[in-house]
Amino acid sequence: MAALEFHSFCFPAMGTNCQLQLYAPSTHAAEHAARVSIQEIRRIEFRFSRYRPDSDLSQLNLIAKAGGSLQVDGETAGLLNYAFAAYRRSGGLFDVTSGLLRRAWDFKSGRLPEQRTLDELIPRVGLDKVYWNEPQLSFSQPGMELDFGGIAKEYAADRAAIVCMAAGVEHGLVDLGGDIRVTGPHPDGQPWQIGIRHPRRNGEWLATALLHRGALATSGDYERCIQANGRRFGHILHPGTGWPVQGLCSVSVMAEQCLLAGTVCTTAMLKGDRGPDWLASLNLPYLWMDEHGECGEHSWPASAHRVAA
Amino acid sequence: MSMGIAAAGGSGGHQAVSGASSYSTPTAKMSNLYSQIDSSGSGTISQAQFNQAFATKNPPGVFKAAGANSVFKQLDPKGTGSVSQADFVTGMTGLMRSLRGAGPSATTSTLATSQAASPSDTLATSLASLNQLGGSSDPSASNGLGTLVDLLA
Repeated sequence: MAALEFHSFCFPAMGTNCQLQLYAPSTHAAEHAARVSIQEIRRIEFRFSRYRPDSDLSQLNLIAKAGGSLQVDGETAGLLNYAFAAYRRSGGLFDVTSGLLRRAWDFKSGRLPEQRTLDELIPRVGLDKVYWNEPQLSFSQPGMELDFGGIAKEYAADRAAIVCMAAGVEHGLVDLGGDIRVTGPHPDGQPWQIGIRHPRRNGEWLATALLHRGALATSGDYERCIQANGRRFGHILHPGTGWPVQGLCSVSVMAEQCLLAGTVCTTAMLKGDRGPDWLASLNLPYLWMDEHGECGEHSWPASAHRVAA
Repeated sequence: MSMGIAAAGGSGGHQAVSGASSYSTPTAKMSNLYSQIDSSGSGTISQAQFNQAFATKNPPGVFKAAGANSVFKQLDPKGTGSVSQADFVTGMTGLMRSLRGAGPSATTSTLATSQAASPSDTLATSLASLNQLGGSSDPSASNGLGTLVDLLA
C-alpha cells in the first residue's frame, strides 16, 4: 500500500474561507477528492444561497413573499424536514423564517434598530405559519422568507466529507469557516487538533478539541455584533422578540454530523441562560462560556483542563 | 473571522479553528488580501509582490491553472507593472465572480458522488440523530468522537 501524503486545499465558498486537509496516496488522488468535494459544496451553495437571486431558495422565496404554495424536490424536502424538527426540538427558537429579522439589523452600522421596525417584521416570522406536507409547502401569509443560513453550511460540510470518503479519503478534515467534519483521524490514529476561539480574547484559544471522527461546530456572539449602552448585541436573534439573545457567548458541540452539531450549538445560544441545562440533557460533548466568563463542559478528561473562574 | 489554518500543525499547533460564523463580502475579502500583500502600505503592489503572494497563499485551483503572470496581466491590462488597491479589488472580485459564476452542473455525476450516500440519505441520517437527541440512545454513543482539552483560564 502506498504511503499517504498530506494535502491541503483552501478555497472560498458560502461566504467564508474553507479548507480541506486530506491524506491520499498521490497528488492526483488528493486533487480528485478535493475537486468532487468542492463541487458538492458549490452545488449546495448554488441551490440554497440567500445571496444568489438565481438560487433555488431565492425562487422559493418569491413564492414565500407572495404567500403562495409550491412543491419542492427531495433535497429541499430533506432540509425542510430537518428545519421543522429543529424548530420543534428547540421549542420554536431555531427558526429558518427568522432571517427576515436581518433587515432590521445592520451590524456594520453600530446602530440598534428601531423597535417599530422589528414590530413590523415579527408577525411574518414563525415556522408555525408555514404549512409543510411533503412535498407541498405553503405560506399562510405574504412577506415571509426562508433562510437556510443556519443549516446549509453545516450540511455542506457533511456532504463534502461523505463525497471525500467515497473518493477514498479515510483520513481527512473538511472545514467550512469553522464548521468541521472529519472523515477519520490522521493515518497514525492521532486526532485532529482544532482550536476553539476564545470569545473575548482575540487571537487566544478557549480550548482545543481533539476530533477522531464526526463533527464540531461553534456558535458565538463575538462576530457581527453591536456594542451599545454597555451591552453586546450579537447576531443570533430571538425569533419572538427580534433582539439578540443574551447569556452565553460561545457554545461548541461535537456530534456525528456537522448539521446536528451546528443546530445544537445555535439552539443552546438561543436558549440563553437555559442553554447549559438543555445541553446537559443531550449526551453530546460540549463546551460553553457565558457572559460572566463561567464555563461548562461535558466529556472532557478531568485532568486536562482548567475552567475559567 | 474563523478560518482554517493553512497547513497541519498551524497556529498554536491547531490544524483548524472553530468559532462563531462571520460573513465578509468578496470585496472585503479582496481588500483584506490586498492589505496583506501591500504590507508596507505603499498604495500599489508590484508583479513581484503579487507573484510571491500567489506562490504562498494557495490561490484557488483555476487561478493556479491560469498562472500568476496571466492573472496579473488581467489586473494590469496596460502593463504598468503595478496594480492599485482599487484595480486589484475590482479585478480580483470580477475574476472570482467569473470563476464561480458558471456554477456546478446540476447533472454532473462523478464516480465519487455516485458512490456516496445521496443528499436525501445524508439529511435523513441527520434528522434521525436530531430526533434521538437526549432520548433513549446509548449515553456512551458520542464518546468515540473525541475530547475537548486545554481550556485556558
